[in-house]
Amino acid sequence: MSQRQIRDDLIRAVRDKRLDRRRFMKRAAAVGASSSVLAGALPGRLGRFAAAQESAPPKFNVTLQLSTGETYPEVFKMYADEVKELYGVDFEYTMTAPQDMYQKDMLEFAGGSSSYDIVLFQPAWLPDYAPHLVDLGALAEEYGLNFHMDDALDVFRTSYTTWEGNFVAVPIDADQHNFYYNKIAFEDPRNQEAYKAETGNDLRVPETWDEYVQVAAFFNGRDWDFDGEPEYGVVEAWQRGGYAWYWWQSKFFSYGGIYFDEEMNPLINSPAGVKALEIQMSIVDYVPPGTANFGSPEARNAFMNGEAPMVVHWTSTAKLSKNPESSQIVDSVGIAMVPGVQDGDTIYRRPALPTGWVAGVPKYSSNIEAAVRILEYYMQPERSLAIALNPAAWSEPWRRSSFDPEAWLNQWPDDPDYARAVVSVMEETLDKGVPDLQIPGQDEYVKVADAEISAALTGAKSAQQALDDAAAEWNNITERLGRDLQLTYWTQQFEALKSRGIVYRPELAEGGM
Amino acid sequence: MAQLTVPREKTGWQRVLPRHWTRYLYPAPLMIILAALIIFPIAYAIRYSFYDYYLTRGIMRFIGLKNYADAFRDEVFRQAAWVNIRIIVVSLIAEFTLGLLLALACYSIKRGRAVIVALLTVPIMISTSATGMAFRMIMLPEYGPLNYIIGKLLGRDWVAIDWFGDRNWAIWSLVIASVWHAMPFVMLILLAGLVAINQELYEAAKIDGAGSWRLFRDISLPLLKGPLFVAFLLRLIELIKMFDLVYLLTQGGPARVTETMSFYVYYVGLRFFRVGYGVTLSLFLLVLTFALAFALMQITRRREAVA
Repeated sequence: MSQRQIRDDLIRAVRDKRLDRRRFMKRAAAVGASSSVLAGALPGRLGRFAAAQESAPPKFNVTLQLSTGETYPEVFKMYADEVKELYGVDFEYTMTAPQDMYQKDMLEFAGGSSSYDIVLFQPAWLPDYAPHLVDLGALAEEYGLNFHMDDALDVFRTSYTTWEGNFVAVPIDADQHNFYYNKIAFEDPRNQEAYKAETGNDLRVPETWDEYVQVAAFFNGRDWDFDGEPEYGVVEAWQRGGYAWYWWQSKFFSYGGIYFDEEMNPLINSPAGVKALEIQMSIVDYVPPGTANFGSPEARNAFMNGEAPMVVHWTSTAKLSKNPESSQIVDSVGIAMVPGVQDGDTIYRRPALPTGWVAGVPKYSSNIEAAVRILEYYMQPERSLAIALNPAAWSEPWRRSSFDPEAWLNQWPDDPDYARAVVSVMEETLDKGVPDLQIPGQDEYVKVADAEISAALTGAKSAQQALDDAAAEWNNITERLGRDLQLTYWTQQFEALKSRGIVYRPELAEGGM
Repeated sequence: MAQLTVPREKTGWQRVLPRHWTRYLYPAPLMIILAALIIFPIAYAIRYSFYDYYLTRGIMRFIGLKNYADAFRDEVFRQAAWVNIRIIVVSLIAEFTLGLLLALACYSIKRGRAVIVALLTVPIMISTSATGMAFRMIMLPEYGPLNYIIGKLLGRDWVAIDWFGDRNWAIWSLVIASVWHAMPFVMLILLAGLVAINQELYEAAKIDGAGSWRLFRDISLPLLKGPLFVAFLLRLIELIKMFDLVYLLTQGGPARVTETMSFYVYYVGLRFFRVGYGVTLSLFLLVLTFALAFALMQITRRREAVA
């Protein structure tokens, strides 16, 4: 058996949780190839990690309180046994609904306390969380820890984890929106012929938002999977609380929009915003009933149950739709980049990166050292990879090393094309994607815009009126929070976006529908 | 012979304490508890209503009456009040009509009444959160039984009512769930009122030739005024404060068509952490509820005095 095979088997065993980390180390040593396996299989930093493991870590004998939300306890459960053995640390999980986590944490922080030793939160809330978190960079230096952030993609090294120059959080989940489609709908010759006959165009996975609408219109009410029942054209999620906003964002960015101009005048009601909302409004008749109150699970389930041939959704859908226990379209799911807008000979794509999750240690924790060391333990590259590969962890990769194509091929050995497509789409999306608005009061800005987008989608307002109202309220929020201070924070994000080539491009929305 | 009493000279503590000091002493513990539990928080809230206070940003500026002025101008709050008014009117009509009918029906049952009443009051025993979850399932547009039943009643397989997503229907989802949950409470109070009516009154009226309608109109209804008033007041206050079903069923959406005043206050104060303004809005709610309750009590007292 070659070293490569040994490595693959061991990684698979760790991933499948048949082998815990300690046994993995032992077995690697037993084949006399521990260091070479680690050095060869994974980035060189891992070799150093292995050496570091040899020095006995401190024993804390405490129970850490973790605020993981409903979604992420599995991330920490993956290595809970080893953590207990190595550090004498147990975990207790609090699984608050995601929409309530900010509120609960902030109420405690405002009173100078926290019930948790580790808190998970969205990077967009970093401006509000950062003053209450310990500086992980300083403590890493003090304790001699290495979070391997040089292996992280740019956006995760900067705006997701760093605030005012301090490294205060580590990535847990690199959320991003991808485009999923049902291959039966797009590849069956009967659908292709009918589409050609109706539109004069070849049926293909939508490259642009205009195509997205056209394809949705074509499939809606048609029995495109030939099961004897007509289906819907597309599904999105527009539930109050941010979803309508999330699904509008990718369209808005693709039409050249960004949140504000450099003087902090809102651009959401620019032609880019209006065009994006008009696209969203034009599919209202093609989505399943109830979409206005669909959150993430309902939209995903409608797609995985074969009710709609396409959905824009988070990367967890790539894993779940391949799981026969949750999906009826295991053999027919396809993944692509979220559509964009024709820009000369190319397609301008700016998928949204909503929302992402990071973890930090509150200043008010009485177990700061234990919490910081535990986070570092989970941040080792091979663990990041294993977490990303585990469908139950709901966590998407954010390290360069986690995009190892071979690891992902092992995930779906029967469908290597799909595995390659998943890796490629994830990487490209993170490269081109636009993160959430990241200024103080972000939650209020988003909820206000979300309600107005929802008003347009339910027919209560025109696209322009809804977004004008949202922009006016954005200005009010900015004034209330202090325009100068808000502008300072926005300028940081504006410059970060600009450095990644993300700028306001009004010409992209000028084409008209 | 009349005796002349001479007041005794006060000694020690008696000089300092008021004449009937025990009148103040005995209720004092209760007053202290009341002050701690009710008056202090309200006073604290009133204080914050004069500040622009952002909990998470550490902003706290004295702004006088600006929050009150903003509240009067706040279109979203006005829209939320309109949502409350519609829910209150429709819910109260439905709850009291159905509650009264069911109370009369139960009253007329001679055997097994206790079992039937116990079954009818099951919704009150179910928590609001469970009610919300159940109605989320019942009202699912495609798979919910409600659309199926309505469809069958209309001679179709199914109707496509989007109970939570359609802006014309969403408010009805709240009304239906609220009526289902609270109507048995109204029924129970009215039934208790009916049971308490002296039977001799009915018997005397029957001897005088009164029919069922006259018995109801001239005996039951006037004597039910007290229970009706109590139930009305309690339900009105509950519906003004309506939050939980909104949170569970619609989150105030789509857009803001089901956003009640309490839900808006929650968003402002506990989602956006605009504590000063949120407190001002909740004081509005408090004053409104108090004024309505007070007005209702005054009206009832005057009518009773006239009668």
